Amino acid sequence: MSDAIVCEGLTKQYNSRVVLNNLFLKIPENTVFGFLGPNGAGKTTTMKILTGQIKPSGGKAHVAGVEVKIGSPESRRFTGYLTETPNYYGWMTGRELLEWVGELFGMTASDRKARSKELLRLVGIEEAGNRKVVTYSGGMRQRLGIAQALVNRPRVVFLDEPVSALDPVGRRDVLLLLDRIRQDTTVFMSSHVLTDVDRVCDHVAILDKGNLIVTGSTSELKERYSHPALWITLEGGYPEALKLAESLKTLPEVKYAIPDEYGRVNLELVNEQAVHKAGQYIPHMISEMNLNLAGYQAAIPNLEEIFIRVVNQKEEVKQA
Amino acid sequence: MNTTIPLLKKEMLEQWRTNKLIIAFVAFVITGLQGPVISKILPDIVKNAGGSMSGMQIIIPKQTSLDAILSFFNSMATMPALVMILLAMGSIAGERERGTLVFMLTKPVSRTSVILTKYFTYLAVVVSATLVSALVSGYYTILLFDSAFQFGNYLMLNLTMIIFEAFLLAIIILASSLFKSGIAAGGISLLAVLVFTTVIQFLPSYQKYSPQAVFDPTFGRELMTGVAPLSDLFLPNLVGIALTGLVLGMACFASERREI
Repeated sequence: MSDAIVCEGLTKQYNSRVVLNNLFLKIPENTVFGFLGPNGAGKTTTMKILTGQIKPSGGKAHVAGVEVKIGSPESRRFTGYLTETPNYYGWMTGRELLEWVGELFGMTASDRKARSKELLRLVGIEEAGNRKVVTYSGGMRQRLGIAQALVNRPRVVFLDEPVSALDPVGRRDVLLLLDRIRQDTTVFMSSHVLTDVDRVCDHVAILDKGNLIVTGSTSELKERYSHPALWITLEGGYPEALKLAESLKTLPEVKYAIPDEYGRVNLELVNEQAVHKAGQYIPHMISEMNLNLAGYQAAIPNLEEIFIRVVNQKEEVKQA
Repeated sequence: MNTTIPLLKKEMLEQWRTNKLIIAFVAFVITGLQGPVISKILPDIVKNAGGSMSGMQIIIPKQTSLDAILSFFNSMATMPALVMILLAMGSIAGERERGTLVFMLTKPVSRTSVILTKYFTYLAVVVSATLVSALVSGYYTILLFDSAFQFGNYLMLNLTMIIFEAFLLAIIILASSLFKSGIAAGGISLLAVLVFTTVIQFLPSYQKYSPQAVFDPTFGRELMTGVAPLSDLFLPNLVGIALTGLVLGMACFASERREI
């Protein structure tokens, strides 16, 4: 599998302020890549460089095998882009806009007509296709934005906060769409909605203050950032969970045990070895306490937990 | 991949749907009509105002078609420039402000072709509005005045005026490509025109090389009456075309390097 996006030491500096610092990144083809980071981390700057809007102060980037250069349309033949705040010509209809984009990519009249119809249906605004864009709501403009980014069947599509203006149903539809297009397209998306990124992205990178903190496949990161913790679920509710938690707290290898109202105990142990041992005595202990075990599993961190941990870790290292 | 045709189609459609085309035609034609109409009614206005100016005697010579033509060029010196600034100042800066420039420039289009298609679309509107205005003004001059005028000379003066307008438009497009706001682009364009006009006025020996020479009533009269040959327009036209090319080149050069 070759790489759809390659960043080699990308740096962006405004006077003495470094907004992106020596970014090295390789993104394989046909992946959905989540680009994460707090506000001001350098995500949008990276996207602007990769779409040829701004020039890097140092380094270079290749997208779909073509070096990205400001002002050069070459790499943009294979890419699509949705900006964070999509805005289009209000005097055009949605259908006209998509057909015009198709024309810019040199598509034939029949092809662009069919493609615009297909995309309007895919993003769920088929009925509004003949309405002027000025009458569209924020969510509709975002759907139109996703459609225009896909007109040319791009090899790489850049989506800056693609679900920010969408309602839950719209978000689900867009995430399903992204999952579907990965067969032909590499998706590079930034989002603050980490549950969405967790659902759809197979690779992620976390950026903070212009520096790449961590990158890898989602499963790899979850494994790397997993901690010696267990979720134990009991039949019943809070009283049963509390009873077990109190007993567990007396054990020296338990760091904490927190019960919740659904009968679950979130348990963190001192190390991985303790987790393995716990599998032998905890079920027995539950049985002795006349409680019924309903579930027992290793706690897998979600992307949000990983994100908070890596960003906080960096802060702690700095303060130290 | 040729993107010129779709870019031109978009610009033309925008001119039509945002009513810029109609605004330009109406403004240019009304301004052009002022020439013959005001020349015709000026003696009556002065005569009727005579009572309030006791002791003063103002003699207005009989107005001719030549006066109407010179009045037309005089009117066309200012109002169309302002209309052009208002219409074109947001051509690029406005798109940058609204975010539509990013949408367009992340497609496989070159920045130079965006600048040039915008420029030539506005130029087509300005040229056709000027020609319609000149024809309407010429028609009313013939209708309102008995005396004839050299139609060929009139057309040649209009051609020089169009070249001046093309230069002015290039300045507006350059300003619009440099500034983030349409208002700033408009202000700078206005300032540039005022500076250019003032500087030329202080350099009378260079005035005959400027395309603005067409607005000078003495030069205009000489050209319309044949006292000065039409070949005297060659240099102003050449300078106008060269300046237009230079300013437009600067707009393309700046745009190719500018970050969005």
